[in-house]
Amino acid sequence: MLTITSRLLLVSFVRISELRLLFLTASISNLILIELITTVPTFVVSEPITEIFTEMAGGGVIHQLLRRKLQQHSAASSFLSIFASKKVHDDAGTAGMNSLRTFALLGAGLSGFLGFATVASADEAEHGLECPSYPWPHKGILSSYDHASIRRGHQVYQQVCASCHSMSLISHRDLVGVAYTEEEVKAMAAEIEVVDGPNDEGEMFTRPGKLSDRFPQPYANEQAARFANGGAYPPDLSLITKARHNGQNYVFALLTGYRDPPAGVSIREGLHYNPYFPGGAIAMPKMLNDGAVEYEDGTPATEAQMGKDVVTFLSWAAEPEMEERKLMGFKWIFVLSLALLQAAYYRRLKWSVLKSRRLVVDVVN
Amino acid sequence: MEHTTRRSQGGLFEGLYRLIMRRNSIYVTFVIAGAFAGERAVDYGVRKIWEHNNVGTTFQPLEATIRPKETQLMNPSTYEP
Repeated sequence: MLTITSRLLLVSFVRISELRLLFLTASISNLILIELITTVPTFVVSEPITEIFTEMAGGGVIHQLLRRKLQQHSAASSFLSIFASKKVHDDAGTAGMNSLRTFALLGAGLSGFLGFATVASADEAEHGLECPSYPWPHKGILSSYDHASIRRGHQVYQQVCASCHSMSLISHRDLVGVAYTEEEVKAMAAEIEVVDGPNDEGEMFTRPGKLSDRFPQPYANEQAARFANGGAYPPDLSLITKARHNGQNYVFALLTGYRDPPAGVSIREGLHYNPYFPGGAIAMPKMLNDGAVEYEDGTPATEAQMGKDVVTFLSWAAEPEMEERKLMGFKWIFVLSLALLQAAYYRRLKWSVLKSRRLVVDVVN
Repeated sequence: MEHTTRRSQGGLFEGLYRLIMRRNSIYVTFVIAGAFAGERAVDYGVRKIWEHNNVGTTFQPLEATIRPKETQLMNPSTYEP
C-alpha cells in the first residue's frame, strides 16, 4: 500500500509541477501578447479565413491534448487529498481542482489563439496584400493544362517579358508536343543566334539555335541585369510559380494589380506601387496593357487574358510534369485502396483462426 | 453442425477462396497475371476519365489546328494570289 501511494505521490507531484508550468507559460504568454496587441494596431478583421481555421484547429488540438493529459492523472493529482490523507481519490477531483484545470485550459487555448492573431496582423506589411484564389482550369485533381493557353502565354512571354526576364532552365525542345509542333519550334529556335563552343581553330562561333538550346537570356549576367534596371534584378521565371508562396495566384495578382498608391503613401521615382508586392514598391512597371500582344489564334488580348495565359505558361514551365503526376497519383491511390481492401481481407483471413478460439482462463487468486 | 455446412456453400468470398487460394502456386499466378491485366485496365480507365474531363484543352486538338496550316504552307499551290 505504501509503495503504491508513494509512487502515486511522485506521479502527482510531476503532474502538478507540469500544471504549474502550464499556468506560468499561459499567463506569461498572455501578458506578452496582450502587451503586443495593445501596442501594435490589430487588423483582426483582415485576418484571412484560412488563418482563423488553422488557429481554431490548433487551439482545439491543444485543448484536446491538455484535457486528455490532465484527465489521465486526475485520480492521482488531487492536491488537497495528498496533504489531508494518504488515500487516493477515485473521482475526478475536487471543485478547486476542476476550476484550476479549466483555467489552465482556457489560458492555453487563449494564448494559442492570440499567438496566431499577432502573426496574422504582421502579415500584410511583410508579405504584401493577400492574393485571391483564382479558378485555374488546371486546378482539379484530373485537370490538364490548357495547352492553347500555354501557347498564348509563351507568345506573351516572348513579346513582353523576355526583354528583361530570363528563363534559363527551359529548352526549346520542352515546347514540342506541349504548345507547338516540332517544325514550329525548330523555326522559332533558328531565329536565335547562339554562341557555341570552340571550333577546331579554338574560336567561339555563333550559329542559329537548335531544339536543344535553352531560351535566350536578355542579359549576360546579374550585374548587367541590375545595371539596366536601376539596381533591381528581374528574376528568372523558370520556377517562379513554385518559388513564390501561392505562386500562380500571386503572379496573376501582381501582374494585374498595379494601381495608384493610396493617400499618404508615396513611392520614390523609379519604383511603382503594387499592393501585392511585399513592401508595396516594385521596380517593374505595368507591362500588361490591353492590346499589347496580338494573339495568333485571334483571342482578344485583354490584360486579364494575357495575365491568365502567361501565368499558365509559367506554371507549365515550373511544373511540366503536372499532368503525368496527376494521372499517376489518381491511378496509384486507386490501386492502393484496392490493395488495402485485399490486405484487410487477407489479415482477417489469417487471424480468423486465432480470433475464433475459445480461451479458458484459470486464474489463481 | 448445420450452420457450418450452410456457410461453406454460398458467398462471393468463399467462391473466390476455393478458386484461387487453395494452392499457393495458383494464388501467385493469379496475383502476377492479375497485376499485369489490372494495371492495363486501370491505365485505360484513368486515361478515359482524363480525356473526358479535359475535352479541348490537351495538345491533340491544338495540334489539329496547327497541322492544316503547315500542310498549306508546304504546298505552294494552295497559296492565294
